[in-house]
Amino acid sequence: MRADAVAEIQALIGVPIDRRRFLKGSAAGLVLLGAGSLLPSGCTAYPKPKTPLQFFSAKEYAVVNAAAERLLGATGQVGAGEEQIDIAGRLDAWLLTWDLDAQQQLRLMLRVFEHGTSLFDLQRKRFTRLSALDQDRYLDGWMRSTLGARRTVFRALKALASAGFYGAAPAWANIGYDGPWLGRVEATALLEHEAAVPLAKLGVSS
Amino acid sequence: MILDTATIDRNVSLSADVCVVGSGAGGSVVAKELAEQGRSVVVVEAGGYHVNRDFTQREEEMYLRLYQDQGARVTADGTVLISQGCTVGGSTVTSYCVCARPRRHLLDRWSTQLNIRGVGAEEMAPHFRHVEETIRVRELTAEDINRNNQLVQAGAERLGFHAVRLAHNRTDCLGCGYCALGCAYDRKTDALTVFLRAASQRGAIIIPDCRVEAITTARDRVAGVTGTFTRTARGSATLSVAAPVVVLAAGAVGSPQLWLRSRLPNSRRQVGRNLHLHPQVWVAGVFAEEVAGWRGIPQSIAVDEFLEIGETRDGGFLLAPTFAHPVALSSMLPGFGTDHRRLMELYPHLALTAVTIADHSSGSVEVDVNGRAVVNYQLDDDDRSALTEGLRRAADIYFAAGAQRVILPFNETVELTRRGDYRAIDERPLRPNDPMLLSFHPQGTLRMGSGGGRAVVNLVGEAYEVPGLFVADASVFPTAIAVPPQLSVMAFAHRTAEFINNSAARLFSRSG
Repeated sequence: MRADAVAEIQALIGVPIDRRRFLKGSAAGLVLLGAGSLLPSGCTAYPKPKTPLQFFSAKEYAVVNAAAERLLGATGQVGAGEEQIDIAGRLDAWLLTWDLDAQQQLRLMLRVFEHGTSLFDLQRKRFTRLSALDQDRYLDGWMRSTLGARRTVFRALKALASAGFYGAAPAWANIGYDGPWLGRVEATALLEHEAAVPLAKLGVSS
Repeated sequence: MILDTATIDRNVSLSADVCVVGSGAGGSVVAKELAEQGRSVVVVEAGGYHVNRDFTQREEEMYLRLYQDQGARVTADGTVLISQGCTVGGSTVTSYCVCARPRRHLLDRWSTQLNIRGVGAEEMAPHFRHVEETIRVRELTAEDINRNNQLVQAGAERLGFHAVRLAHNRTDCLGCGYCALGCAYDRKTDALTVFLRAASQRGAIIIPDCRVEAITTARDRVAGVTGTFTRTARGSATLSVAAPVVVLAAGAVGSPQLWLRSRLPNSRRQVGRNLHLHPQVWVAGVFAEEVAGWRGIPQSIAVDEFLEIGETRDGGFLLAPTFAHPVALSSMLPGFGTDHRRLMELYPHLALTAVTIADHSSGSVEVDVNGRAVVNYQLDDDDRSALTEGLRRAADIYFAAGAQRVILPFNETVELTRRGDYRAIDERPLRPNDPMLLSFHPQGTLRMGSGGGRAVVNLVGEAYEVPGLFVADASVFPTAIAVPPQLSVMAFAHRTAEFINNSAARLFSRSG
C-alpha cells in the first residue's frame, strides 16, 4: 500500500497508522464506512447507468455524476438527448487503464465521500440522496477542511469531473473554446516518421 | 530502428555496448552521440512510440498516452502534481520547447563552491552550443508572442520588471497551441524528431513499452538491465540487455526509483535525496478583451526580475505566462458549482501566469514494498515566502496590464480587485493542497559531486559505487537549476556521452 493511501485513510478515519498497522487501521476505516452504509438511508438501489459499465459500479457511477453536477454547475443542462454528457460513463473505460492500486484508492475515495455525510456533516442521508443545497454544503466542507486528505479528495473529484465533462466537445461551446485544429485547420506535418519494425527483423535471440 | 512491441511473442535477450534507460532529453542525446561513434546502443523506454499522427490535440487522450501515470503522478501527500512525459522522446515531446541556459553564477558556483570541476559556465558552453545547434534553438520573434504573453510583457514593462523573450527548439511553428499534447505538425525539434531519429539511423535499437525492472551487476560493476514488456503480441514477455555501460536517464523520480528497486549500493544513503521540484502555482488575470490564451505559443517570454542567482546564494521565482486547455483549466480554477462555471465561461478572457520557485526545499524519492515510487516533498518557509511574493508580483503585473481582477489559485474563489490590496494573500496561510502545486521539473535525486559526502555520481555522471553505471538526466543537478531544465539536461548528457566515448578502453574492453 502506498504511503499516500496510508496518509489519506489515516486522516480520514482519524486513527494514526503506520505500514505495519495499516491493515488494522484500514479495517477500522472500513468498519466505519460499512456502518455508514448500513444506516436506513444507506445503500438502497442506485439508478441504472445509461451505458454498460466496465470499471464503475452503479453506486460509484451515481456518486461521480452527482458530484460532477454540483462541482461544475449544471452539467446536465449542456447538450440534449444523445448529446448530453455522461460524465461517469466517459471516465469509465479510461479508469480501467489506471494501475490497480490507484483504482482501489479511487473506489475507497468514492465510498468515503458517499457515506462520509454521517461522519463529517452529521447527515443521515448519503451524498447522492442529499438535496442540492446540502450537497453543496457538504462539498464546501471538503474544499475548506482543515484535514489535508479531505482537500485532496475534493481536488481529485474536481479533476475527475473536469476530465469527464470538459473533455467532451459539447461542453466547449459554452466556454468559447473552439477545439482542436485537426480536421478543422489545414496544416501538414513536416516529417516522415520511421515505422516500427517487427521483432523478427531485429534478429535477436530469445 | 524502433521495435514494434505488438509483435513481441517471446522473451527477448540483447547485448550491446550501451543500454540507455529512458529516451527523453538526456537518454536521447547519449544514444545519438554514442551511436554516431559506432557504439551499439539499445534504448529502453517505458512509454509507447507515438508520433505526430497519434497526437490528437484532445486532452483526455493525450494525458493518457503521453504522460507518466496518465498525468496524475502526485507526491505522497497528494499536494504536488508532478507532470512528466512517458513516451518515446520523454518530456521533450510534451514540453513548451523553452531552451534556457542556467545562470552563469549558478554553474560557476557548482564548479567552485561544490567543487564539481568541469561544469563552470565557460566549460559547459561548448556542450550547450552543440545541443543548441543540433535542435536549432533560436530566440522567438515579436510575431511569436501571443496575447497571453503580450499582457505579461506589457505589465512587466510598465512596472520596470525585467522580462526576456525566450529561446525555443521549434521550427516554422504554426501556433496551434497544443505543445503540451505533442506537436501534430512536427514543428518541435526535440528528442523524438532529432536525437532518437539520428540514433536510430546510426543503428541504435529503440525499445518502447518496456518497464525496466532492475539494473543488473556482476563482479561489482554494471552488467545490464532486465525489464518487462507492457505491450506484446500475446501474454507476458521479458527483456534482458547485457551491456558493460548502462545510462540511467529515467528522470529524477524514475532513476532513483530504479536504483533503489535494483538494490544497488547506496552506502551513503543519498540515492533519492535532494529532490527539487521547481514547484509552481498559477495566477489568472481577467481582461475585458479577448485573450484566447490557448492559441499561439504558450510560453514565449519570462519575467526573471525576481530570480536571485548570485555568487553566494540563489532562490526567488520566475514568472512566465502559461495556459491550459479546458480539462486542465477546470481542474485548477477555484471554487465549484455556479462560481466555477462562471469562471470557465470567462475562458477566452483569462490570462494565466505561472509562479515557479527556484526551490531550496528538499524532498525525496523512496520505493514501497512493491517497488513503486513514493515522492515526499514539503515547501520550506523560504519557499513559502517566495511563493506568496510571487502571487503579489504576478497580480501587480496583471493590474498594470489592465486586468479587471486577478484570481488566485486557492481551493475556494479568492479574487483581488485592485493593485496593492493583497490582504487576501497576506491573511491566508498556504496549506497542503490549498493551493495545489504543480511540478514540471523534478531534479537532484542522484546528485553529482566530487567524492565524499552526499554525491551519488562523479563529475561526469558515473556512479561512485557502481562502475559502468552513468546518470544522464536532471537527477544529477546538485541544486535547483532555476530555469526550465531541458537544455541543461541535454548539455550535461552530451558531456557524459563524450566522457563515455573517451573512456572506451576502460568501459568497453570486455565487449571489444
